[in-house]
Amino acid sequence: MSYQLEGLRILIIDDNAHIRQLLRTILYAVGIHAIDVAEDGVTGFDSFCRLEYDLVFTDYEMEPISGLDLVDMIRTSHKSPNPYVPIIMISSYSDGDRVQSARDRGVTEFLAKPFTVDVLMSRLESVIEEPRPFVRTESYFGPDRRRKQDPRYNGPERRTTELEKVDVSVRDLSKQQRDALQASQANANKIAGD
Amino acid sequence: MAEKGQENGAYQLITPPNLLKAKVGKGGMGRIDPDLIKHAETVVDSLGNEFAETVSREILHVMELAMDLETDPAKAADIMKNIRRVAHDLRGQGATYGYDLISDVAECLFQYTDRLSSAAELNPEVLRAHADAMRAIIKNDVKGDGGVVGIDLVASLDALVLRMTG
Repeated sequence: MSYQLEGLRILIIDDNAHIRQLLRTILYAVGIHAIDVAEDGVTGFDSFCRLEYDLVFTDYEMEPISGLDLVDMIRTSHKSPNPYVPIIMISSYSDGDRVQSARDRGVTEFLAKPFTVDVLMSRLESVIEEPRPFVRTESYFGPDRRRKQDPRYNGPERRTTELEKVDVSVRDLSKQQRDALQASQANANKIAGD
Repeated sequence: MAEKGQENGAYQLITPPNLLKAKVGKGGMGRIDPDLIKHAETVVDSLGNEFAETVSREILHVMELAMDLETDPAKAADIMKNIRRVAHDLRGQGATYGYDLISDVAECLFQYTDRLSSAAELNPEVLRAHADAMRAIIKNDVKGDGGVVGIDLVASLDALVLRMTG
């Protein structure tokens, strides 16, 4: 038996219309039909306060308030109806510092752009299957930033895995494709040499 | 919501109920229906053509901006903003639609703008080199990372960026 996803209500907050549409399309295709979108954090937080959402996707870099500030508002504002809601942060900036700062502000999962359907689904499964307890200190409220440690695990650091490029496929190119790319490379080399 | 918390020195540990899991059921093998995932992948694939058209429009846009830069250098700040927007959008989408190399070239273009100390240093030839590479990828429908040839192309663009910003 698979998940019954049709009962979920999801909020997507991203200033990029393509990404909003792409996320909505994928989530709709797997059976989630109650999907609201907002193009900035202010409108997004307003929507969040009006309805009960099961999951929030937010972009990292937005104006007038950033994705991190939005996470703060969801986690700590007295207006927030659900400070425990899982939040998946999406961003093209997937360096370790960014991922760490997102975690330090209360993000549940990080999704690096560009993403594949497969990776998006794995993040969705992760927030369903591996919820972390919340921690409240003087300076932080959000999911426990310490991952469960498995002493038998001797693979790569999880964060390293998250930052790896998702789909580096090596495919055979036709002669025409190879010639076109090599011509572009020669052009770049020529400009660099001038 | 019932909070099961435990005071422990300076922090409180709270284990909220897993409402998400309760709502979607226990799942099982596959958890998210594999047929639905396949359907989603098919839908995204079908959007690939639309993406190729978007890239083609953006390539023209970059070429126009390079020309504007030559004719009116006073517009450099605006042009820089537009180039960063294009590069940021394309690097975030390319690989999703199977065009990993578009993401790589767009990332290289974005890094170029990041490394400049001011918009006045923007070089139209560098913009054209990136637009030219993206055109070669889209026109010849190069999916994936382009193998060794694709990696070499990105390495050359990286070297160009270093040369122009170092």
